[in-house]
Amino acid sequence: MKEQDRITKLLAKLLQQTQEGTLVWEAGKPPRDLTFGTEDVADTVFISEKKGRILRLFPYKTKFYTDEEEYHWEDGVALDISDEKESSWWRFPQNPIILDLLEAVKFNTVDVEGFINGLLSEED
Amino acid sequence: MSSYFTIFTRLGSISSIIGLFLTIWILNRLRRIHRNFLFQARFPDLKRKIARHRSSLSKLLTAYDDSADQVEIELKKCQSNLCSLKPKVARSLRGDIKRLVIDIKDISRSSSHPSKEETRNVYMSLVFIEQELENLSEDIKWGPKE
Repeated sequence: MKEQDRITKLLAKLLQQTQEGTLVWEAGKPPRDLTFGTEDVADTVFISEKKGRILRLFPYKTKFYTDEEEYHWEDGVALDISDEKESSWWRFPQNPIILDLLEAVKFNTVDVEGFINGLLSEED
Repeated sequence: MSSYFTIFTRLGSISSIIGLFLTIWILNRLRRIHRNFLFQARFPDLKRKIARHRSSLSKLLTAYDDSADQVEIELKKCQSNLCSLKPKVARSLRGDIKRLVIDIKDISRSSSHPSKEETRNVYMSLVFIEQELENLSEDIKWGPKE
């Protein structure tokens, strides 16, 4: 199996576990390695643990230069494996599942389902 | 004199046969170039459409219990876009798209709502197709190939 396909299958597994609620993520402030010595901007990091490794999922904005002084901001989402000292060991290659993973994590972390049900039952 | 004429006639016949094969080859190349050009021109739009279906299915899977009806509608929309995409891509990808269209048709034919498992299988196929579209686009930049 190609490396790209193996990574895709792994990401699909993480997505499924997140959607089913068996993989829980916690929102937090971005650690130093994501804010120091980089032009990328990350406001929130979602952290989870899997097989003794820390997974970090975070949306970020990065400068895309069109000329020496001209740039615009582009949005991205990254997933990496880090150690307990919050240093990134390895970043997953870009994959469309990472975008869906972020949406699923936000949905579950903020508990959108619970919020909607709560509001609806309040009205009743 | 007549032998020269015979040789000339034979050379003419052979040349026209070679010419026929060359014409077929050139027509084939032109068809490929046309398809690659069409693919490159439509690529951003096609990829956006596939990505939209993938993302929608993922969101529906996150809250699956409340969205079984929507899954069905999304699969129908996805099927029609895949049918439109199929003739515009290289042969290698056409087989995958065809298989996915057949799968979606099979899911739609059953009387009950699409199961979570079936929806997830369609989602995964869309992810692979999106990646293949990306790879294909990169390949075409370095020369047309089927």
